[in-house]
Amino acid sequence: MSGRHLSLFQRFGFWISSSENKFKWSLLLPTLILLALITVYPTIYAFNLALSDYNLARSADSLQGYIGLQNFREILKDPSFWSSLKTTIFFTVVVVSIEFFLGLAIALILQGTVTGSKIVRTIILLPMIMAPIVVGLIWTYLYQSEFGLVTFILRKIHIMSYESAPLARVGTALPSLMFVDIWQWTPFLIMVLLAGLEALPTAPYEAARIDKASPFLVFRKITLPLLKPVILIVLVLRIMDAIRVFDIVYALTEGGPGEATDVLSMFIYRSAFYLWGIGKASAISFILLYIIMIVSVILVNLLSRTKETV
Amino acid sequence: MFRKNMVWLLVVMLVLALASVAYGWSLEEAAKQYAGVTIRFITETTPPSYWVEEALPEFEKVTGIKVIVERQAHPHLEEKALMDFASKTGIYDVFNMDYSWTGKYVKAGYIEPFEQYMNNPKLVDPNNGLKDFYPLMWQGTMWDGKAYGYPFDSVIQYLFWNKTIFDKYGVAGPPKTPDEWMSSMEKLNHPPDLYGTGMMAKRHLSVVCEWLCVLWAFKGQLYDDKYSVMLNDENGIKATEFYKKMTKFAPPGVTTWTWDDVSTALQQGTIAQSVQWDENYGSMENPEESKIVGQMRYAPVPSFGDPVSHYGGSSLCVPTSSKNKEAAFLFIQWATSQDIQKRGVGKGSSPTRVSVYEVQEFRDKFPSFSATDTAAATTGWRPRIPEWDDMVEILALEINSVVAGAKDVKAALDDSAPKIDALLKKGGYK
Amino acid sequence: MENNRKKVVIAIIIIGIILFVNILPFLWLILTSLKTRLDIFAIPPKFIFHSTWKNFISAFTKRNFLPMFYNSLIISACTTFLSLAVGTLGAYSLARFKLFGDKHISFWILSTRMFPPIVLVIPFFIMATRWGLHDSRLLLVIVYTTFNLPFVVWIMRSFFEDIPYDLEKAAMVDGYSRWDAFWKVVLPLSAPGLVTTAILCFIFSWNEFLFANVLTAAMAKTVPVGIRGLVTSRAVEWGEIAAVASLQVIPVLIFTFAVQKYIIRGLTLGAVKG
Repeated sequence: MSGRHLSLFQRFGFWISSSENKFKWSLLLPTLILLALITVYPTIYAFNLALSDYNLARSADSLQGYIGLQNFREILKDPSFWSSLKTTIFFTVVVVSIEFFLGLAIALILQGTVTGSKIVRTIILLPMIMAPIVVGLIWTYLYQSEFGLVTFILRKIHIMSYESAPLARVGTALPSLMFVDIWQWTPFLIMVLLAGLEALPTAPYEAARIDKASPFLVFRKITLPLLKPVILIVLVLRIMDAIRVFDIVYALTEGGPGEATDVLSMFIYRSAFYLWGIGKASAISFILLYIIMIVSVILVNLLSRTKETV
Repeated sequence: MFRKNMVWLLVVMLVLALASVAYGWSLEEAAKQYAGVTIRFITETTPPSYWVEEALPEFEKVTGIKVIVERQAHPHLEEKALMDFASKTGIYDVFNMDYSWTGKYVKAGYIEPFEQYMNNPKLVDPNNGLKDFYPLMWQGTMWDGKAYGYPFDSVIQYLFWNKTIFDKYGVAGPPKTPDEWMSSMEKLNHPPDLYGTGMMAKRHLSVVCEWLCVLWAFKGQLYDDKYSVMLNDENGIKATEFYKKMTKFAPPGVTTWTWDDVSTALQQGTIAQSVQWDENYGSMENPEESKIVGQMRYAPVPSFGDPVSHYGGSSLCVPTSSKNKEAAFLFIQWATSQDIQKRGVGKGSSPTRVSVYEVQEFRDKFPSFSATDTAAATTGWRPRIPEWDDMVEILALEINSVVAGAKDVKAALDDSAPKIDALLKKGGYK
Repeated sequence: MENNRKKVVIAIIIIGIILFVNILPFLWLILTSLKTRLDIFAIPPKFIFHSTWKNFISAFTKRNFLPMFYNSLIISACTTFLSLAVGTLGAYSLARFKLFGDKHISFWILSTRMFPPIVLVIPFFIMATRWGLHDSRLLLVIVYTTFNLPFVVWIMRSFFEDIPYDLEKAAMVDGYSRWDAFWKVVLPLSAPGLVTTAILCFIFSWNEFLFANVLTAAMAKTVPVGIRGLVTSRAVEWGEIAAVASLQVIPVLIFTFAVQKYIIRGLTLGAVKG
C-alpha cells in the first residue's frame, strides 16, 4: 500500500496505532484538554471573582477590585447564609432518606413479581426525565392557593383548611417543595434498586432457604451487604443532586416565604442576579463547592472500600 | 365600503403629508439613514409593551428599521438588561427602565443622557409636545436635573375596588381611611368564595411596594430627608401591624402572590378589593379574561394623611452600550407619541400623556383615567438611589416573614432598620 | 403459592398507585393546555370543559416559540455530537489501558459531573459577556459539554468494559491496527450504548434551564427559558405554559420509550446495569 492513496482518516488510523502509548494518550487527551478548558479555567476565573468586590450594578470607579478574603468573612457572618445552609442540609437529608426508604421498600415488594410493559416503564420514568423547570411550574400550578388541583383535593379531604395553602406558610412551604422532589425521584430509586436486586446471585438465597432463615435475617445478612454498592451509588447521585437543587425552587418559591425554602443555589442566584454582587456570589458558590467536594470524597471513599470487600 | 376606506386613507395621507411639509420633519425622512438597521427593545411584560409590539409594523414600514421586542417579568427584565449593559455587549438598544433603577443605572454609566437626542433637530419631531407628559412622570426619568428617557408606562398603585361586590354587601366605597378600609375588608370577607382583600405579599419587590403604600398611609417613612431611618418608629409599627392584619381577610395564598396573582383574583371576582397598579385597568375590562367587566373602580389608597398613590412608572431609555442610538431614539419617540398612546388605550395600554387622559370618551369607559389626575398630585415615591435593590431584598424578606407568620412585627422592623442604615452609610449619604 | 399470589396483587396495586401519581400531574398539564383562560382559573378545578387549541396557536404566533424549539434542537444536537465525538475516545482509552494516574483522572472527570451548575454559571456569564459570546448558541453548546462530556466518558467506559478484550486482540491478530480494531470492531458492537448515551445527552441539554436562563437573551433562547418567561408581570399564562410544556416533553417521551432498557444504567453513570 502506498501512502498516497490513503485518505486522511486512514493515515490518522495508522499514525495513532503505531504505539500503545501514543494510542491511549491521543484518545484521552482531547477529553482532558476540553474538560480542563471548560471546567478548570472557569473555576479559577470564579475564584478570582470571589476575591473581588465586583458588582455589576456599581460603576467601576466605586469598586476596589481585589479585596482578599473579605467576601468569605462577610458571608460567614451573615445569618441568611447559615439559614440557607441549614435549609439545604435539611432538604437533602429528608428528601434522600424518604426517597431511599420508600424506594427500597417498594423495590423489595416488586422484586420478582411483575415485569412491566414498555409503556408502564416509561410512565414510571416520566417524572425524572421531564425538565425540572417544567416540573416546578406544573407543581406551582397544582399548589396554587385558589384554583390549584392539589390544594383543592387537600381541602376537600380536610387535610388543609381554607386558611392555608401549600406554599403560603413557612411551616408548609418546605415540605411541599420536598414532596415535589420526592415525587420526581422516588421512581428512580425504585428502578435502580430493583435492577440491583434482580442482578443479585441466587446461591446465597438457596442456602438461606435450606437453613430456614427468617426473611428479615435474609435481608439483613444477604440482601443488604450484596446490594451495598448499588445503594451507595444511588445515594451519591441523589445527595449530589439534592445539595445543588435549583430549578424547582426557582419555579416554586424563589426562596420564600421568609427564608423557608432558601437553599444555597437560590441564595447564590439571588446574590448574583438580583443584587449583582458577583464577587460575593462567587465566594458563596465556592463554599457550596467545598461542601460538595467533601461530601463526595467521603462517599466515593465509602464506595471504593465496599467495592474491594465485595 | 372599500371606496369609503380608500377616501379616508387618502385624506389621512394628505394630512400627514401636509403636516410634514409644514414642519419640515417626517419620521420617514428622519429615519432614512437608519433604514435596514435592526434594534432590540427589552421591556417588561406590561400592557404598553404588548400594545407597542402590536403597532410595530407601522413603525417598521415607515422607517425601514426592524425592531425585535423582548419581554421579561419585572426582576428578570433586569437580569437580562444589566448583564448586557455591564458587559457592553450592546444587544439592547431600547430599555424600559423602572424609575427606581434610575440612580443605579445612571451612576454606573449604563444609560445615555437624553438631551443630545431631544435637542437634535434631525431626530426630534417638532410636534411631539414634551410638555404633554405628566410632570410627575417626567420627574421619574430625571437624575441630577438631566433627562434620561421618555415616560412610557404610567404605573400607579391604586385601591382597586369592585363596586358591584361592595354594593351587594352594602358597604360604602371607596374606603377613605385605614379604619374604614379594614372594616370594609372584614365585611366583605366571605371565604372561600369571596375575600375582603387581595395582597401581593410574596418575598418579592411586590410586597415592598404594597407595604410602602400602607406605611405612607400611616404617615410613616422609610427614612427622612436627612437619611435617618424611620421605618421602625411608631407609625411604622402601626402600619406593619395593619398590613399583617390584612392577611386575616385575604386569600390564604397571598404570601406567594405578586401583582399578577392579584390581577387574576380581581378578574375572577374572588377578592373584593386590592392595592394594584393602574396599568391593569385594561385587563379588568377584557371579557376574554375577566368576569367583572364594568365593575371595577379606582381610588387612592386609604390614608390618615394625604391620599396615597404609589408611583412606579417607567421610561424608555437608550443604553450607552447600544450601537444604534439614533434609531433607538426614533423608536422611543414614536412609541411614546400621542397617536400611539391614544390608540393604545382601547388595547389596555397605560399612557403617560395628560392629553390622552383628558379624552372624555376614555374617562367614561375607564374609571381609572379620572383617578390619575388626583393620583399624579399625591403620589409617593420609592427611593431611586443605587442602594434601593439591597433595601428591597432586606424589606421583602422581613415583611414577607411578618405576613407569613414567621416573625413578629417589631423584631422584623428592628432587624431591617440597622441594615438599611448601614446601606445608607455605605452609600455616603450620611 | 398463596403467599406469592398475594405478593403479586400487592405489587400490582403499588404499581397502579405509582402510575396514577406519576401521570396525574402530566394529564393535568395536557388538560390545562386545552382550556380557555376562564376555565383555567375556575374554582373548583374543571375536568369537563370545551376544549380549545388557542393556547397552542398563540404560543407559536404570539409568543414566537418556533425559533426557541429550533435553538433547543440545534444546541442539544451539537453538544451531543461534540461530547460523543470527544468522550467516546477518552472512554475507550480509560476502559482498555492502564494509564498513569488513571484512577485520579477518572475521579476528576466524575467530579466535574458533580459540579454545581450555579458555581460555573457566574464565571461563564462574565467570560461570555467579555468575549462577546453572550446569547449565542455556540456558548450553550460549549457550556452543556461541561456536564455531557464527563457523562459520556463514564457511561461509555462501562459499555466498553462489557465488550471482551479478546475480540480486539483477535482482530489485531487478523491484521487490524489498534485504531481499526476500535473503529471497525468495538464501536459497532457498542452501538446500543452509543445511542443511549446520545439520547440521554440530548435530554439533559433539552431540559437544561439555569445556564440557558442566564446565558441567553433573545437569539439563543431555548424552550425551557421561554416557558419560564410566560410567568409575566401581568399574569401567569398557564394555558400557554401547559401547551408548550406538553410539546416540549413529547420528544423526551419518545426517546425514553425507545431506550428505556438502558436509561437506568445511564442515569447511574453506568454503575447499575438495569
